Amino acid sequence: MESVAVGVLEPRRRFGRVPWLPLVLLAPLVVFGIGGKHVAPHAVTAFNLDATLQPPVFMHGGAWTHLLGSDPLGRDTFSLLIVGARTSLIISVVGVALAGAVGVLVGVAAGSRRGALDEALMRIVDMQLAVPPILLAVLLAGALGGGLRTVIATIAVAFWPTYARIVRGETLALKQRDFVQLAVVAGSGQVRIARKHLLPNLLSSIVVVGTLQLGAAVGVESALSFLGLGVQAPNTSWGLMISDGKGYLDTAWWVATFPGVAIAMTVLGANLLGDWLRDELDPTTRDR
Amino acid sequence: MSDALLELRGVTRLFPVRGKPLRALDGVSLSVEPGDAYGIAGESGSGKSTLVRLALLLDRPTSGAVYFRGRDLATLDRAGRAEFRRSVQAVFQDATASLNPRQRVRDLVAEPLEAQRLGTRREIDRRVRDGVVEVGLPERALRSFPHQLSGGQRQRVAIARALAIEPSLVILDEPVSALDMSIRSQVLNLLLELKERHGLTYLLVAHDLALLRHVTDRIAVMYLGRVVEDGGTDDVFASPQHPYTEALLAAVPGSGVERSVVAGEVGPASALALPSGCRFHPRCPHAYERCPVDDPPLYPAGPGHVSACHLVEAGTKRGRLAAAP
Amino acid sequence: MTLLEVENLTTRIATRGGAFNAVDGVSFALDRGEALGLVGESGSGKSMTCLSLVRLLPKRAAQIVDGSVRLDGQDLTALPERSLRRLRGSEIAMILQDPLLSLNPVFTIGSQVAEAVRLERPRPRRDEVRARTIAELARVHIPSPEQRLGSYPFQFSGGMRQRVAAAISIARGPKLLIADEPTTALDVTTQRQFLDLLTELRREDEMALLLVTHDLALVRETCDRVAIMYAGRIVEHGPVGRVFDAPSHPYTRALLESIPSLTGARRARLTQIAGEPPDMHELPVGCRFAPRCPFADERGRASYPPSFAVPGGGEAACWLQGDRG
Repeated sequence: MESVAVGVLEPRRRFGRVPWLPLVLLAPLVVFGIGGKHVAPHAVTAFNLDATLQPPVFMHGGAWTHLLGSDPLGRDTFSLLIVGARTSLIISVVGVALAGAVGVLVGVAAGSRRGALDEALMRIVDMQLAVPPILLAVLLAGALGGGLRTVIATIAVAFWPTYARIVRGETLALKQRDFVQLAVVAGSGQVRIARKHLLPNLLSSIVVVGTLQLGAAVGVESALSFLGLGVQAPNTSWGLMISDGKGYLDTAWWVATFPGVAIAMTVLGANLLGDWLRDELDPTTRDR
Repeated sequence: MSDALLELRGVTRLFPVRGKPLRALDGVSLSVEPGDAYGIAGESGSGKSTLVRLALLLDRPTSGAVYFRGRDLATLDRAGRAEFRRSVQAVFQDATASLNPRQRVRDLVAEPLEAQRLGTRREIDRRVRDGVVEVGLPERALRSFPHQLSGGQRQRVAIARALAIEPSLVILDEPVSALDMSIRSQVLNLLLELKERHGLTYLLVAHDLALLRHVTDRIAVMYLGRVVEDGGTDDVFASPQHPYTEALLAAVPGSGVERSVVAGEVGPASALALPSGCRFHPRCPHAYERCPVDDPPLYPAGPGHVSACHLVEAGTKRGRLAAAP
Repeated sequence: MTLLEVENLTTRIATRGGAFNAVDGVSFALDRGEALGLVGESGSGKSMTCLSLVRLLPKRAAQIVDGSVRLDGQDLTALPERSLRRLRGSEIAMILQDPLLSLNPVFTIGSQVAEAVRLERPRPRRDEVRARTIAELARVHIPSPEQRLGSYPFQFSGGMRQRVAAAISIARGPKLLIADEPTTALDVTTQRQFLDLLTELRREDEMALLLVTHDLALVRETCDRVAIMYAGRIVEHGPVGRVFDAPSHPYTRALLESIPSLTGARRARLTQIAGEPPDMHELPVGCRFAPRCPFADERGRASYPPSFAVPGGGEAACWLQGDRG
């Protein structure tokens, strides 16, 4: 059999291009998140009623002791930001991961099995989506008490239906594609098809949805803490910081603004990272 | 008792479309013997895609049955289905869509072997390597992804995969129509050689009559869900016994016939609103009073040759429409 | 009477893998009322040539870098966009492969044809527009055009959609119609009808036709002359009869021999062409077909052959033709 002249491209190394911008934006979150209170210049519980509402160092009246100023209780804004990062990071990542795990499982199951299982699962999804997140938070807070766990649970419960819907839709579309049909012809069972054909091709959607949800989760956490349903004192989070600072926006803007900026950076960084990750994970776009 | 490899008996497949049934297949019967190169000629709306799906157990008939080695596919138990999957494989038209874009060639070709647990990892590796070389690809293609290969190469991968488990029957749905012209003959020759070497049986679905003429021994012509003519390829091409077959032959560029023989067209509504009597009669240049009234069955038109045309039953045998240059 | 004169047209496109000349020094001429077939496989540059003629190239990715395109003496490559826009539709028209792309799915057939009619200068009156629209649809043999004015594209079959697309294109009586693979998406029987229609329309208006296709056989039936493209260049051209009966360039010969036909020996192994079309980023030095040519020698591998005249009409870019001459 004669050999066909093959113009086969050499595959490029995985993760060749480095995504600088997202990494820069997310680096502080990660560093602070991991370091937590060990990295912070002041203890979060260090109330200093002599130095309340001190402005940041670059403003008149500021000092290096409180780099970004201090809050109404004299706590160092910078330290709060660092410790709050850890809280926000844990909550968002765990919450979205849980939502993703459940959502993808449900979506793939419903999409590949169809029939009664699909109907049942999608009705649950619908019912879930009908409940407003805030109400959900209140109910869960009532059941579990406030704090970290409540927020994580709220995020997981509020976000998994979105995942399930999207994944189910994509699964349905994937199932019709030739290569999946041919996998059936090749004798592959449903589990093998889900593992080798569906999930890898769902990956980019899952990643993109995940990063968007990460951003949203940080926002949800902030909102809940703002409302008092989430993280409670003496713990801190970015949302709580905003809540504490909301009354001082015209006098001591730094208390609420820095955490706001931190949230924006995180959301943007997560989305950009998601874009990069999606392109890297897709072999067809990777080599361009 | 026939020892046909694949047999369809009165197969009908209806799809409900906005309340009305779409008759994608309407009482189709045909029989593929071991060693055949059996062709199905049809345009869009003929039902050939549905037939392929039913023959691959990707779908079930509404009525009638599909038999493989004498066993009704619908009644197969788990073991029976496994045996079916070991014996029947397929190659589809769009090579790119046939391959999981995230898998390398090695895994793509190994799929049937791994899915059906046919051998150790080393044995599978060896068979995959041999298969890939046999279809004319270099060994280093094993590590490639589909998007790094050309269209012809991708189709070779699809062929290697279909042959990996050494099936008895391969169903080919327009295997070369999406390929460049200068590549088609390569892939067709490859398919013919592989058939010879491995003693395969082919069911080849295509709209290109010249291609079918070159590759098949028997041919069935389909129109709007029915087989309208069935016979040996030589017979059907030399002496077509159905007006639709004649029209198809005349429409092939280079046939030497001046004007288009047939008016009208199969459109989106056709299969939903089938004409009364013979479904070809609105477009048929030879239609007469009986045609809108009676739906013709397959009349004998010669040894091993049938045609669903009343003119055949009436004994009016027509010669070839036009002499080729 | 020369209508279109293309001289040394070169279009460069930029891809992530690098830039190259998709159209590399292409020259041809078309007389009033004449039909020229431009044949080539994917990547040969035939579609890019069409887009270059009317300058519908994607702005950032492609650019005409050399050559001229003269329509009735006027160089289109030098015209400002405004003037070119006036020519499109009125002097030059284009039909694409997929009628679903040419027609807007959310507007009725009637409104889309009327839109073209209304562009006529002097602008027709309201009542004239409706009458003209019906007339144009009748001209392309749409049955009961008055009733179909309110139909949407999805309600039409592929062939009818293509005919509507044709009606829109020629509504203003252009001198040149460029048809890029107009029948590839249609069934064989419908292809025939559509090409017959094009021939009819051409005869009525003395309209020239540039038919771009990968199907050599189509060209024989519909065109007066044919040009074969390979890797961005025209490798052979001439009167249709001569090129088909006595092809000069090895690529043309190989293509003709590799295509299965309705006549000739059956089940013979098809003559195949070795290798694959070249990667345009890494073209060989010398003749671009040489790596696959069974007659290649050092001259072919060393330098690109000039075009030599072929007895019977036309030219071929092959050293061997030069020897024969």
